[in-house]
Amino acid sequence: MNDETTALDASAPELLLDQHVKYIQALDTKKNDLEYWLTEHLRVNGLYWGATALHILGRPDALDQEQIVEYLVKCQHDNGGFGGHIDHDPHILSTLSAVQILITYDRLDAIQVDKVVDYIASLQNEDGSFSGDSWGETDTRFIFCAINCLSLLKRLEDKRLDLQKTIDYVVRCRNFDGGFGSSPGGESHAAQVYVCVGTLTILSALHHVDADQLGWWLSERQLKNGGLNGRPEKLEDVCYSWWVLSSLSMLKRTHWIDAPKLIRFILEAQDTETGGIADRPGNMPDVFHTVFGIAGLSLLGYPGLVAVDPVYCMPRHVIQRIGLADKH
Amino acid sequence: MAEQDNMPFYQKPEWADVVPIPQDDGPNPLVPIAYTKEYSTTMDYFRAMCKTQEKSERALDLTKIVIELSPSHYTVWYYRQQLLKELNKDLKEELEWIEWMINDHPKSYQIWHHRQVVIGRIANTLFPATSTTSTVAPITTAQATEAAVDFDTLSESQKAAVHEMVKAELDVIAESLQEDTKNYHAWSYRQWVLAHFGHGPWWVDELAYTEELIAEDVRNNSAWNQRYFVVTNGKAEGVTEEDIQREVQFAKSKIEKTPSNESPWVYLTGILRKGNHPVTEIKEFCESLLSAPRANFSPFVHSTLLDIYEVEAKEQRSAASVEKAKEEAIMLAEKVDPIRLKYWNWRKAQLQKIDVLA
Repeated sequence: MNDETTALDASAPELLLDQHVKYIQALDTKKNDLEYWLTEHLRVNGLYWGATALHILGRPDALDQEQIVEYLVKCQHDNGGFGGHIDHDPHILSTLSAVQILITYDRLDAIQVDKVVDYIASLQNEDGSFSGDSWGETDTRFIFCAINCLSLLKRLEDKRLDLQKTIDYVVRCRNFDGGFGSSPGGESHAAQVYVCVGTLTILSALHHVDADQLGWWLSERQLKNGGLNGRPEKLEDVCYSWWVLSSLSMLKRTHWIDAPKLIRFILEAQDTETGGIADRPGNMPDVFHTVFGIAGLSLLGYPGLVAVDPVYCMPRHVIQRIGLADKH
Repeated sequence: MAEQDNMPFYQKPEWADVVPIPQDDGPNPLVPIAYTKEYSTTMDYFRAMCKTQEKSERALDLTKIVIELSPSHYTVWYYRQQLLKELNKDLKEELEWIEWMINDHPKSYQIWHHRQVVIGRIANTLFPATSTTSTVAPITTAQATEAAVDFDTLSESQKAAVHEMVKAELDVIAESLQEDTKNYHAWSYRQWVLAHFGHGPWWVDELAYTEELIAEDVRNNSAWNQRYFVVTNGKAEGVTEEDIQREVQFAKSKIEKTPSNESPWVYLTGILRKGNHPVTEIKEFCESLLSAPRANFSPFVHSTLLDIYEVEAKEQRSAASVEKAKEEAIMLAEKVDPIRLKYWNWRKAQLQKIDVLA
């Protein structure tokens, strides 16, 4: 969190809190379009985005918790992993989302935690990285999902894991510009920076990062209109408010960018008719950009929002409740 | 036959014995079913196939239909991979279909990964002696040093075959990159192809390819990153001093054309570090840029000069260098890059801590 009080730009639009709550509530009740079903494999992720946004907005009860827990239980497979929806193969992305939702609701009792740990441990590769599923795709995103999830479950000590190799692999993904990519040699990308810095933070290995060099590269992502991009010469996008800011926050350098300008950019991307936040002003909103816009605002100290944890992207009080808040 | 081709697959006789399984959302669905008939019926049959894990031609056909309807549905991709293997299908034919799919869905993670798995399998069949055989999934890192095929140990005819295969693959990727020169998936896969087959002659061509892309768009950061990848991984013996000097000249020439472009600056300082050259080596170059009117407004000219003067100040304990560095920090904070005012002020504050000679 920014240690200075963020001065708000008086002419910036207001946060449409009630409209965002309604937007998220409506996502799961009246969808008749094919698009909704084409994103079926992301349903569990979508629930995490929606539920987290509502918690940060201070409306934790806006979705039916019991129904969500019941649904998530159905998404867990015998091998312990969660699919993106009922009948979908287990995947590390949906497994992390499911665990995040259950911890936020304090309902880990509903699932078999040991089996989740078995599943994640089975995905670690010889080189220390993790695959996303049994199909074998690897990406630094999956490493973060695995480490994040094990950390939330307090199972990083599991004997089957080799975390030093994981650290070594992540360090190999660091580039000449100070950023990180999806694999060794892959172009630096702000979202990949978030997952790598997050992994190193959780594993107490942030000393491998040149915080000044990376902090500068991240600050360079801010464009004149206040928005942040993910790579040089790419367009600004609200979701980078999260990937860039959370990384800067872990590096304790959030104050290097112009916060009032970024707040204004996020607020201008709100849809004043339907609620929700889009990737940039004038575009259609979606739940992904809604949560990362709101989480970004929270990280910037926007008034009236519940504090978000920069590593786990969950409410700070939840991370405190489970005793992980002092770790970083 | 023609009539049958137009018919939905589930009305054809070969599907008559399959009992489709409707979506189970439980008694109180959080997400009620309301999607198109074609999609929902297809998925009902797909669920039936998954349940029995049927390994048949019709199951393979069905995976294609499902993928074309919903290319991000990762469950179906894995099933298809298993089917291709069990049915011992012609993978060349599969490559043609993937190429067609890439055109339509260039940003799907699954399509590129599917292609990587298929190419890895083809390589394993062609060059079993040098390929890793321990796993179906190919080598998952883009480090040239961990190539799965050791090019140098191949026979001449094998070398020619690998070269041809790599070239064909790079062409497919280049075609996709032509549509979107910054497609992250395409670049990741490209690095994998380059590295998977070891230190073959394609690395030299790749350096020329990055030069071409940079000439087309000097701000294409993906191409700059690829260039760094090629220079640092392309040779078994590693980076030579000659490489470093050539690349320094290359970056400088691009900076002179667009001094406000982040990519060549980061590349230049990165290459210098790689070659253990001090940043102070480019002091004259940066200072000379200041006389060009456009360059004077480039934050990168000033920030690099700030870095250089700061290094000098520390090394020589020089008060004059501290002053010069401060001027750059002030210039950046007040005129050239005020959006990062707080960063530049922090840099200026750091300068005060340097212990200079009285």
